[in-house]
Parts: sequence; structure tokens; C-alpha cells
Amino acid sequence: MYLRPRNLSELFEMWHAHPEAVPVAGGSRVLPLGPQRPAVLLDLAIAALQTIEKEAQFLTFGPMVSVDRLAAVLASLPGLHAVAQAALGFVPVQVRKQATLGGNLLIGGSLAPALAAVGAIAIIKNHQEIQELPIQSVVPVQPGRLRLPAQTLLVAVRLPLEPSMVSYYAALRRTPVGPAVAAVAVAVVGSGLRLAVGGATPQLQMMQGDLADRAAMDRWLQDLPVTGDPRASAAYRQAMLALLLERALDALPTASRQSA
Amino acid sequence: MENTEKTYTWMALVDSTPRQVDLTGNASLAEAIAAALQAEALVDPSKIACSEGSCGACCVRVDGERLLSCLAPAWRHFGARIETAASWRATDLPMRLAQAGAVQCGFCTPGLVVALGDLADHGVKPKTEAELADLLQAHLCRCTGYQQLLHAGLAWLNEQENS
Amino acid sequence: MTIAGESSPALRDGLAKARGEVAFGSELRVAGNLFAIALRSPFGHAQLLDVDAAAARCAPGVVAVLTPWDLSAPDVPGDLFYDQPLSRRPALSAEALHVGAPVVLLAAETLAQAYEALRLLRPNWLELPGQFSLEGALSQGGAAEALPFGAVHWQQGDPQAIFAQAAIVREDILRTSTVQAGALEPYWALVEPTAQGGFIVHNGVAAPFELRRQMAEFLGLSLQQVEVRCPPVGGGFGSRSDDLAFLAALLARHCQRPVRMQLQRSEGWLAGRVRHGAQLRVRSALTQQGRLLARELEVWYDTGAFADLGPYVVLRALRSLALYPAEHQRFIGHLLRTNKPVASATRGFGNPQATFAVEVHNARICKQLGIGSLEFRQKTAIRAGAINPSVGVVDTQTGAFVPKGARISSSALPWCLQRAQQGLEEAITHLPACAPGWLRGQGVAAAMHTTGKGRAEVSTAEVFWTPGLLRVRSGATDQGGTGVASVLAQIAGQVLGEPPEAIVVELCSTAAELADSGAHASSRTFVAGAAVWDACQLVLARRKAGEPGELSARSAWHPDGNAPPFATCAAVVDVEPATGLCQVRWMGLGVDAGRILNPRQALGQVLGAAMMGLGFALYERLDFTADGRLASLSVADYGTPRATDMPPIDVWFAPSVEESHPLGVKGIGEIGLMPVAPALVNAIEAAIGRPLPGLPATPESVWRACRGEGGTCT
Repeated sequence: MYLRPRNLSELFEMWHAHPEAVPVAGGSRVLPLGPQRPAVLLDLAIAALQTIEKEAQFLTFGPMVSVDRLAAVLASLPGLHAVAQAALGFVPVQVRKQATLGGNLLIGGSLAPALAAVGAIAIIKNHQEIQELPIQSVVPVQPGRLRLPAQTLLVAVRLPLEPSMVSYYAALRRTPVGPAVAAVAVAVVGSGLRLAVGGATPQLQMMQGDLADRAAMDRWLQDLPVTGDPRASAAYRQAMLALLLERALDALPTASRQSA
Repeated sequence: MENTEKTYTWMALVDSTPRQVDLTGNASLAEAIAAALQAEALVDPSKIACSEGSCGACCVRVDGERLLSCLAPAWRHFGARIETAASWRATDLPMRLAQAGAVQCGFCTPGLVVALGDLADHGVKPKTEAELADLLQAHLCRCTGYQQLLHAGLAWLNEQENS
Repeated sequence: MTIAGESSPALRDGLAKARGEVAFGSELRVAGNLFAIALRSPFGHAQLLDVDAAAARCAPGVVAVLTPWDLSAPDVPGDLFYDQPLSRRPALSAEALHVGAPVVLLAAETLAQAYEALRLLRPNWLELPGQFSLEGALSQGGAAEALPFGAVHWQQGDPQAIFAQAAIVREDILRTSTVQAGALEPYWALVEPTAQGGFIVHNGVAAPFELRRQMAEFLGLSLQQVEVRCPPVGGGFGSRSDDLAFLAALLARHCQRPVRMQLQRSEGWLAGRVRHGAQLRVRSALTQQGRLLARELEVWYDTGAFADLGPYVVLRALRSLALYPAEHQRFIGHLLRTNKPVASATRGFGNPQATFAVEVHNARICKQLGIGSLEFRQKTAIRAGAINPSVGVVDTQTGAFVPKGARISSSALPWCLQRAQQGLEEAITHLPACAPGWLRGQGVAAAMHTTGKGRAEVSTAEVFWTPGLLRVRSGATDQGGTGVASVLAQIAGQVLGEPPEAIVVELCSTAAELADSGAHASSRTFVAGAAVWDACQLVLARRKAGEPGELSARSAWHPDGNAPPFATCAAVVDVEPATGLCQVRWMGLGVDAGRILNPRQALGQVLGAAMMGLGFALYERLDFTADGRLASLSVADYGTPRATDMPPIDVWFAPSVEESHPLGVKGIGEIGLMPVAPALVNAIEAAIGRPLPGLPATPESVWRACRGEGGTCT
């Protein structure tokens, strides 16, 4: 069955009537023929989920905004540089155009660490209520399903417009368009720092600390549950995380100059 | 077993010709445009290779937007205007690619024709082959090594009149 | 007469393909065809104890479900290795010997219905222990040998004695990974029963007459009851030798309806054919001045669950040993069985792995002795007129390889080496400096390959001529735009003086009985081209004799020998030691493929081979888990090079003529692949000053080498 709601309230009505329905965003998880293809699909291509809203202190994106559009909008906002970099790091460009913000989070794509570092908020909704959560709490443990209660949808991702924030994202891949084997995102406001790591650990990892306390960051990196798989060993990933952090911290002054 | 399943009719304007495709069974409601186009065509100019958005063979233009059609839900685009490589038959692009040696097995070529044609329609004129390579990164070609393709594509794009 | 080089006929089918007017096999449907899929093993080795198929049989649109107990499926005969059926294998078995092995077949009215029904099958598996890595198979010793006679072996002189006393002895052990040809078009087959009780098999195979032989035996029919047709193929590279046609034939016979079977790309990783992963040991004894006294090459090729074409593949490794003749030589070729997907023919056929090892070993020798790479190869490499010991036969009782004494009929390798070196020097001066924190290295490698498999090669052509209309019929196939039809048209047109628009080339199905040994080993211009040339000569003679009316002739051409083509590759690579990332900045290939008939197509073959070589060198690898599954089925993950990964590539064709061939040609399809990976790895090793363990040179393996893990480069 293919459910094609016209607006959010219709969407939740349909979902209520067909609780087994699986939402379709960019399509990469559900459309390929095979045993993973769900019997009932719920199309998220509705206007309300594709909006970009700018307020004084926030920039809010619908989950159906394409990764490419996200990168374009953020290109002029130095504080959110890390998110733009992570979006552009989702290659190739044609894939980026079809990939959605929500889908990227769902498949464990490049955006999660950058969004977590800049302090993005996930806005989730079921047919009754709206809730706001830090983005890292909805990012999946295993790619394929966001951590949301049943029949609850990620309806927006809100990014802070913090004039004094600078951020940077760096990643490393084994093959040209394969997934990152290590990714690091840092965001700094004053001396406060948020550091998030992706690719190298089964789950998104994040710490908050002091920009001046490099030793604490190194300790945190060293204690991370970094895993090895055929793409790269744990030892290599651990070393690359340290290197990427180094590069990100070095690049921060440049990022802040851009913001000035 | 009797085929008792319901048939659904999907419609689109494909290369300026109205097309109706009968898709049988509930599972077919999850078909992507690429699969729907191939369901009844004898020759389908959009090829299906990876089915995961990684190769570009199925690239078509849907209501003016370039898409990897293996990941575009058919029912989301019911009644859409779809342009495959066939829409560029009247241009000199196919001949230019063939003349340049950019076509070997040719399975990737229709998708590349759509990509290049769409870039031309947007007035894109890359300055270097490297710049064009970036724009075509979504397209895999396993035969040519890309050099003759980039060479021909770059020259052709830069010759196009701005629309 | 000489066929002049011209590029225009390449348009023959290229234009239609670019216009989206060509239907490939994966689009082929015949009226009422069923869609078939297989339940495939999710395990590296497992026994299907039973399967509850009741729900699947009743599912909408399902026409047949065949379990291993529903039919007594005959074995797939497999290719013959010197008349021995070493690659015979079950078509469908309850014991799954590799991940992706088919155990249950299912046919339905639509593909979506087939997949729905597949979900309803309830298999009961017993997982079994298995051998899921080449390392594991190596540790088993002889028990893992896939061939009844053990290793293929050959020796000349007394290398052991020389190794015991030589001034310099160097040994290197290198690995290459299991990779896949990665053709874009998914693997497929369509089999339809005929009213006369026979079958038409549509399949994009390289060797349709061989498939006909096997299919007739498989179905218990005569050759005439089976027709094999090959529609346009979306990339072949030798890899389209899967078992889909046999599985589809079982269903077609059972249902008495046409059946099409196609693998999703993700299934293709498991059920398609792969290139043998390998371990290779090269040992050389030399004088202090770098004269090669003795050399030994021992290879272990991972053939997966079945031998398939493995016995021949492993033999091709001999080419890399033969390229550098020494008085004392030894070759040992092991084919090891593992519980991994089946390895078989893939562009280069066993030579890319061995050439990689030998050429990296050569570069290390040159560095160790302080002699130039170019100089060493110029002095050591085989020359025209010398005996090529890699052409011979295998005694299938003992595994002993017996050279036939064939001579190298032409070699422009010295020219190729010189040209690559010159190109390298020019490139270095033009390249911008490498980025801070990066190191730059240069590398060179050479290779010798084969044209045709050197046994039972044949192609048959018929030519029909009246003024203004020239029809050419050939039994050859085109494995995906290699331009066979274009070259055949060019040859016929020039002999009989007809313009391209007056020529019709028909690549026929097996029903035309134009016997052809298949599009493999870079051989169709060499064999089918000569057949067309020969038939045209016969027509020309009759025309000159003044015969009236339509003139026709037929030729079945058996080539003399298998004229080895040669190639060299020079490369510049930048390496970042901190991450292990490599960036290829430039490559140049010198190629001796005899006379070049169609320069544009020949260039396309070399550029495409270079791309495949770059992928083999840096990215491509099928990653297996410890229990024999594939870690990823994603095309994006696998690492096929994209346009953004390719450096500028220069290609130079040697002014060469193969004396043994009427058209002066040698094979072009594969030779360009051979020297690329070793040239790139030699460049990386030169940049970092340390040895790599093998292929691919992943960022991690380069990073580890930079840290001195895995020894130092002496």
C-alpha cells in the first residue's frame, strides 16, 4: 500500500490507521527490491516537512530538506560550518540532491556528528504532541531506524544561530564515496567546546568540555569504544580520530576568521 | 497459483508520450520510477544497475529535476513529466559521445546523456575536466576510464548556447 | 594486405546506445515469461535441513518452488580442463558451499511477487564450519587444493642450487584481494522452451558455443536442440560465467514456460563470479650487478567454492615469470578451495595478480641493488625470437606443465619501456608540487599477456558480397562494447573496398553454426578478425577471377600461437603518511598490441583497463567477515573508481606488427590492466620508502607501512 498524505494531520491519521506503515524519505532503505521492502509505505513528501524557517536565534529545517539544500543554506553561516561540511561530505552531488536530512540521520550518514556538535535539536511529533530532544538522542544505534516512539515522526531539526560559535568537521573514507571510517566535529562558543565523533564508534559519541583542556579531549578519545571492521581496524580509527581532532582544532581559528 | 492480485495503473508523460503501466500486486506500490519504466517497455532508455543510487545508470529528469530514478518512488511522481535519454535523441550529444569513444558497453550512457543534457539546459559550462568529473561523480562507468567521456562532455557543454 | 587504422566505425552501435535505443539483456522479456529468483544461503557454509515452502507455493502469482528434494538436478558440466571435468558442480544443492549459494528456486508471474513469496519461505539451516579465508586455506596445506593432482608445476634448470650459492637472493610475499569485475548491468539469463522440445538460452556469455555444449549435456539434449543467443551486454570483463542460465533452465523445463532470472546488484556480489584473491611468493637469485640467475614464483589462488575456470586462471600466472627469463626457473601454482563465492575468469585471467607480485619484487630488487628500473627490465625482459615457456600443456595426472617451445613472434617492450620512462620525466616537470605533508613517488612496471587462450581457438565467418552490399556473419560475441562488429566491418570493408554504410555485420546465435571459441583473452580481433579477413580474401579472389552474381565464402580460422602483447605503466602518486591516503597524479602506458586497427577503440580499451587497474590497486576489495559473509553489499562501499578518481592518463601505442598474424594484430582488451597496480604500488613504496603487504593499498595499509609495521624496504 502506498499512503500519500497531503499534510501532517492526514499523515498522522493514515499512520494511525496503518501502524505498520514505513515512512519513505529519500528511498534508499525501502525502495530497492528485496526482503527489506515494506508492504505499506508512508510518503513523507509533504510541504510541511520540506520547510526552512529562519528566526532570530534558530534555523529550522524539515526532515525532507535535501542534504544539498542544507549545505547551500548553511554555506553563508560560519557558525554552522561543520554541518555544511558534513553535508558536502555526503558525495556524490546527485545523491546529495536526493538524500534528505532525515534519511541521512536514519542511515547513519555524515550529518549526525556535526549536528550534535553544534547543538541541534530534534523536534518530534506524534498525532498528539510535540517534543524537543537533543539530536543525539534520536540518532539510531543501528542504522535503519531513528530512536523514536511508535508512530512518532522527526518533523524538524533546529540549529542554533549563535553569533560567537565556530565549528569544523573532518572525516576520512576508505573508498571514494564509501562511508567515513572516522569523523570528528567540533563546535566552540567562547571557551566551551562540544566534540562529536562518528564513523569510528557504533554509536554517535559526544563530549562537552573546555577548549583549553586538550588533555581531557585526548583522554575522552582514547576511552571511546572504537570498533574495527573490514573497512578499518580500531587502532587505525583511533589514530585517525586524534589526527582529525588535531586538524579540526587547527582549523577553528580559520573558521572563526571566516565568521568575523 | 492464479494471479489474483490487484493491478494498479501508473501513469506518466515519458519523453512527451503518455504512458500507462499496469503494476500487479501490493508490493508493486513500492516500485521506483526506474522499475515502473522498465515494467512494460521493450527498450527502456533508463537502465537499472545498482538499484541503490550509487551508479547513475537510471538517471532521468522528472518534472525538470534530475533524479536517480531507482530511488524515486513511482507513486510520489504519478503523472509526472519524465525525460529519459530519448529526449536528447534529436541533439548532437549522442553522436558526440559515440564519436569520442565515450561509449563502450553503453549501459551507463543514457544516464550520462540525461546528466549532460540537464547540465546544458542549466547553462553549466565547466572550465576543466576535473570540474565536470565532480558533476558526474554519481555516474559509474566500468568500461571507458572516463577520459574520453570527460573530454567530449566538456567540449559539448561549452559549445551550447545559453538558453 | 594491410588494414589501415581508422576510428570512425566505432559509431556502429555506440550511437544507438547513446540514443537509448538499444535493449540490453536485462531488459529482455518474452511473452509470458516468468520471473525467477533463488533463496540463497546467508551463511558461508551451511546445510539446508528442510524448508517450509507451503506458504510460498500458495502466494499470489507463484508458479513453481523447487527445492533440492523436488528434482534431481544434474550437475553443471563446467568447462573442461584439458578434457577433464574439474569444474563440474551441482546446480542446486542443499549444502550451501558459499554465501549466496542457491538452494531453492522460485518462479512467479512478476518479480515483485517472486520477492514477496521468497519472504514466505521458512528455511531450516544448520550452520557448518568452513574455510572462509585464503589464510585459513593456506594453513591447511594440501587439504585445501582444489585440483586432484595438487599444484600445477614447472621447473627449468636447478633453481634450488642457485639460490643456495647466489650473491643476492631476495624473496617477497605479496597478497591481492578478491575483487569483482563490477560490470554495470546486473547478471541475468532467460531460457525459453521451444515447441520442438528444445530450449533457447538468452545469456550474455562470452562463449556461447561452450554454454551450448554444457547446456545440452545438462538437459540431456542434442546440441541442435539448444540455441544460445547473446543480446547486447552491459559490461562483461569475462565475468558472465555464472550459473543463472542453468537455474533458469531447470525452472523453464519444469514450468514449460520462458523463465528469466536476474540478480539484483547486491546479490551479484555473492552469486556472480569474482577475481581470485591470491598470495604470491617471488624469489630471485641475482649477481651483484643485477643479472637474474634464478627465479621462483609460487602462487596460491583462492578459487572459492568451485574450481570453475580456476585451473586455467592459475596457469596464466606463468606469463609474469616468463617475462623475465632466467636459466633456472620454477613455478608452482596452487588453486585453493574456500567457502567463498566462486572465482573465475575476470579481465586479465590470473595474470594481474602474478604480474603485480613480480613487478613489485623487481622494483624492490632494483632499489636493493641500486640499479635503474628501466635498465633492469630492458636487460632482463624476454625478446622477440626467444622461447616463451608459458605456452604449453598440463599433464592432468601429475600437474606438470610442459612448455611447447613457442617463440615470441614480436615484442616492442623495449620501445614501451623507453616511452613510459620519457613520459614520466616529462610529467614530473609539469606536475604542480605535492601538498605539504604529502610525499611523491614514481613507479614503473611492465607486463606480458596473451592473445587467445592458446588452445582450441576458432572463429567462423561468412561473407556475402554484391557491389554496394557486403554482409558479414560471424559467430563471435561482443562482451560489452569492445567493438567487435566495428572492427569486423572495417576489415571486410577494406579488403573488398566497400564503405561503412554498405556493410552489415551480424553477430549470430549458435543456431547459425558459425563455431567460435568465445570473446576472451583479448582475442576476437585476432581470431574472428582473421576469419573475416580470410573469407574476404576468398571472395576477392573469385571477384578477380570474374565470377558473376553474389559471391560468398566461409572461413573457420584457427590462429597460430597466441602472440603475447606487452605493456608498461609509469605512474606518479602522492601519499600522505599521516593518513595513508594516496592520490594518483599521472599515469602513462606504453602498449604493444601489434598493429592498431581502430585507434579510438584501442585507446578506450587501454584507458578502461587502466581505470580497473587503479581500482584494483587502491580501493577495490570484497570484504568478508570471519564467518564467510560479505561485510557490505553496497556499490558505494566497494570502491569502483569514479571520474573524480582518475588522473590524466597518456597512452602510447608502439609501432609494432605481429608477424605471425595476417593482420599484424595482438590482443588489446586486457594488457593495459596488468602493469597498472604494480606501477602504482611501486610509486607508493618509493614515496614512503617502505614495503606494502599487497592490494589494495588502503589508507590503513599505507599508514601501517609508514609506521614500519610489516618490515622495512631494503
